[in-house]
Amino acid sequence: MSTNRNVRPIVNEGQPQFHAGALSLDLGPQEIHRAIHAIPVGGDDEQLTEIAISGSAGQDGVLMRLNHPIRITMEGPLGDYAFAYNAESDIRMTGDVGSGVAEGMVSGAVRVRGNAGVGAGTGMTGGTLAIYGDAGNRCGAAMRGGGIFVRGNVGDEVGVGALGGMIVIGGDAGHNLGDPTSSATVFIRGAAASLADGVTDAPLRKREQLRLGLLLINASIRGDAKEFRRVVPVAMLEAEASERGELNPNWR
Amino acid sequence: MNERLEKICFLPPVSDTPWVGAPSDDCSISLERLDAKKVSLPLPLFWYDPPWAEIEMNTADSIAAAVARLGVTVSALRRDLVVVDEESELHLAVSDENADEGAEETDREASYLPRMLPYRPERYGVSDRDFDGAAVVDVRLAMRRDPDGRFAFTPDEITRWVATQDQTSISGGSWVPAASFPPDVDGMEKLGGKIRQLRMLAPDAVVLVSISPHRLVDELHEVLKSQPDGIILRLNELDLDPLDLARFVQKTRGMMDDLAYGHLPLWIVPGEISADDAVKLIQLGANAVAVDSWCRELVDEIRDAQQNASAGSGYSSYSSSSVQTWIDWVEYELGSHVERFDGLMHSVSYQSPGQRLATLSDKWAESLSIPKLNLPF
Repeated sequence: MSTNRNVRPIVNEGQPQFHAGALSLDLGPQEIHRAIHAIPVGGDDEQLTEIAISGSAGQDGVLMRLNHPIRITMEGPLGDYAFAYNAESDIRMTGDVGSGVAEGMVSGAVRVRGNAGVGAGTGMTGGTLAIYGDAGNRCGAAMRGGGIFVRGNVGDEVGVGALGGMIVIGGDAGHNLGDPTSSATVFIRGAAASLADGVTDAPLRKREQLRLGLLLINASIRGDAKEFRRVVPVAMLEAEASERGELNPNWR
Repeated sequence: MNERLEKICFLPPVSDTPWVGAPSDDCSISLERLDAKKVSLPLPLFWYDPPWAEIEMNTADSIAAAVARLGVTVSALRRDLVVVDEESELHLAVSDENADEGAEETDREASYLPRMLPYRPERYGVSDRDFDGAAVVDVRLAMRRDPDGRFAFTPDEITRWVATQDQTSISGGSWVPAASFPPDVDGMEKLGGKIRQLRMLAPDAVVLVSISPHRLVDELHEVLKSQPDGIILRLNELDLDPLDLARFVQKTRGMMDDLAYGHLPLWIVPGEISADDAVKLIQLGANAVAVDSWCRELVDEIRDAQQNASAGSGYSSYSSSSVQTWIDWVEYELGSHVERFDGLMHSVSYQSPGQRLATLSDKWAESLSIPKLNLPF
């Protein structure tokens, strides 16, 4: 595998890392895509090769279709559709992002220490999108897998058309939270202006508390899972009620 | 197959036209992206909305590739045709047959069968690999109806698109509501950003926006301002009589000209048409025409045969056919339509564009501003 000439390997306490001071978005979308994919992958699965990328100035369509196990740190702001259709990459950015961040993400992680526009995580099928500020309307729309964590507030119609995955909202939500035909899991700590028709809220079950607690730790979001409620389709809740073991742990 | 525009006829050259060599133009079309990159397609024909979920996956992929090999641009996601991680024949890169035989394999330019990526607002089934090799990305606006009339996708479609590895649908096996506008686009005025993103994701494709005709006068200009590489108009969503179909195409082309977007291609989804109709619609202002009605017959036959085969009824002579038999049959059946289209397109090229069509009807002549045949009755 060739090593990109813009990336100079350094050794730090026995761990292979890469210093990439020269890697900038100014290279252009195609060149920086090639440069990132040319960076050798570290042999240690637990320790991703890490690079920093500079030059963020609100551009649209930044770092899309990455498919490389690498950690990228960068400072925003970024425009619309950043990190769309990515797989494997672990991106940590500071600053706001526009609409459609992490659209169609397959795997890996995107952590945004800022706010996101509309449609964050639309059509995600896997991976983790963590937004440490607020997210706009239709966050998690049509997602089929993966998890979205929003520390702050979210807008209207969150989770519309979602078929799978998980949306965790640390703050409040706007109107029509959830989707009556959705199999996605929605957890909220604050209040929703309204729930979608055919959707209700319910306390977390024990296993969901455990699951959410672990996920909050992984997403570096402080909080106790007990503070959250789940937003579920009424039909799903009724189906659960018919399964006595779900509501009565001592059923057996 | 019924001809809808039979009131229109093709006008041959006048009798004393000197015999000159036949025009050498073929039917291929070239589209241009906003960044000036060219995209070529073998024919101005496309299969807009194939009902892939109605036939078995392996057959669907083979049929899609067979239709594309005839030069028809085929709309399909990978998940329409193959299960996760399998290779789709329609999506595979093929070596350039015109490449130098002595050249190294690695030096050959890869090409792809003509394929359209249906980029619906919901993106169910879309994967990142769908962008590779696509010739057209079709940004579909406005809700679509399922066969029952709902604005929804059928359980079979959802199962095909989002089934998990164990082939169970994560939607729970019910119909799923459809969206009208991409949820990650903050209004029509931001649609241009989505189109730019798609040009980046699919660097070898033109990005067209498909719209319904119901509010064309209000919406066409707004869509055009987002700078797509072309427009697809789904006239099949209206129950148009033949003259209205012809007028709709002509008027829409006129609107695009008046709005200073006359350089953009206008693709039409007309519903049921014949090969003759397709040629006439192109003469009236369309740049490409959907042939779903030709392909629909093929899918219906395959679906019925597969269902009967699974039921063991022996109803169809094709019920136990191999995939290759289907391919041969599709190439023969669809090939006859394509050949007729190709022949008529070649014949009209003898005449300049304004002299290719005529009619016997006063009403049609007046409505379409085409010549009425000068006959003694």
